[in-house]
Amino acid sequence: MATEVKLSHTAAMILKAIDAGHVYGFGVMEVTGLPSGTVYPAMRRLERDSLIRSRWEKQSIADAEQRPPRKYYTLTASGRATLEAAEKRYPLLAKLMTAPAGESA
Amino acid sequence: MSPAAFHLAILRSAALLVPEPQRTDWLAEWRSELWHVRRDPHGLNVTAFCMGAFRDAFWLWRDDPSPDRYALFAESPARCLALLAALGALGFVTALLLPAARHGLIYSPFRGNVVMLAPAGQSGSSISRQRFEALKAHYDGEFTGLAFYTLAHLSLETAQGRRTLSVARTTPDLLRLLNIPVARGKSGTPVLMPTRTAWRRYFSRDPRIGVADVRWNLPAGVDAWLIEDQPAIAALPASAEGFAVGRLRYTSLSDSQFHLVPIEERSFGFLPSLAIFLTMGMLLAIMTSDLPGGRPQRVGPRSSLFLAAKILLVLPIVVFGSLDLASLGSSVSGLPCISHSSVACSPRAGYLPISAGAAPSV
Repeated sequence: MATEVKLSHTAAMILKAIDAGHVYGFGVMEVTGLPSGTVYPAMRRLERDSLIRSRWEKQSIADAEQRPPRKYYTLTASGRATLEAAEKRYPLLAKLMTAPAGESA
Repeated sequence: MSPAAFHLAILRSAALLVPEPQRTDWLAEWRSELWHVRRDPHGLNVTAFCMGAFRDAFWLWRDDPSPDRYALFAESPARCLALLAALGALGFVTALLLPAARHGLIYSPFRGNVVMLAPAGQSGSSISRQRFEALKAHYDGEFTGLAFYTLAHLSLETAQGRRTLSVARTTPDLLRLLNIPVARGKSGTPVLMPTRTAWRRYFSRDPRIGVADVRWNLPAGVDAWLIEDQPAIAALPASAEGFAVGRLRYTSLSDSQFHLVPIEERSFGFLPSLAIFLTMGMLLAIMTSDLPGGRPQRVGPRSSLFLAAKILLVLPIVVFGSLDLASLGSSVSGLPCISHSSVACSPRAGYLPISAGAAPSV
């Protein structure tokens, strides 16, 4: 059984934001109100700890929308379990986050 | 440099910290995010966003388990020199953006172009208010700011008992031309701004009282500045003696009636910062003392040339970095001010109300 990772409130917020559908750094910044210098290093740490994983968007999709491709983040199974534990530790976490417009959480 | 190029330059500079295998991917992600941030309808501060890249890059650099963490400096002499040049340029640009540091950079016989106008042929530098008014009317275009102050004594009931303070009566123009923020009281109400020493000594460090951090060596040291409206100063007797201070629009002014006395800006702690940066520069030179790969090399012409180039490039980092640091540390003035009458009536500090007639006595 994997050791449970104890998250700080900030890391839990970021994990929750990604789970809610804010799947790239800037989206996480917007919904959490955290600065870029906090969000991106925290996401690196979460990825290093295998709580989230990243993948690049297909170039063809980005080209069709005339913008650069984005790097998207999703929760791993381990990340989802850690988030559930964090939500028990920080009960207000769920209330802080809303799904991005046009998507359900 | 366009804002877009500036922001990209920030990201590229931060990317130098990122371990080489991750650098391309890292930069691509930040550039992609930047593209979206620029189009953010909420008007996010793009520069602040880009500055966050340094923290991200630093985290990756620190988290890198490879023993080649310092490869940034050692992998290529050209890259090392480019990095040092970039750091020097960054320090220079920052110094240009910080007012106090900029004054330190620009050469002028009148530092910051702030001068005192002293009548020619007199030993003292004071002039009468009437003469100041004539001077102002004649030379207004030559100065970006011209102000008059006169000395007075103000008796105040302080926490330490009744004290007589030496005050300089002036208008907001003077503090503005010395780049000192000043708040105005209610219309017609004078504002008292003590010096930092007087604030500690007589005002029990009351945080509601704004402090005038005047770093200029003006004649006649005072305990406080009494900022009054123009009509109050104009109502002074024509013969009232005071001092005329101006900020020159250009670097010189020739006149037979007055001579210009440059007013020196007091040091803002440049030397301690210089020592810190000199130490950092030495460390940088030691860390990068080997040529590619971090392997010790025989001292040859290339190594000597490399070392000499590094020393040359470390010097601007040391000088500009010290100026920036000292300048940042000195910008502590500008607490919100409260009006003179409010100071007098403050029950907490225990000051007695001062009637208009009893206020300053010349």
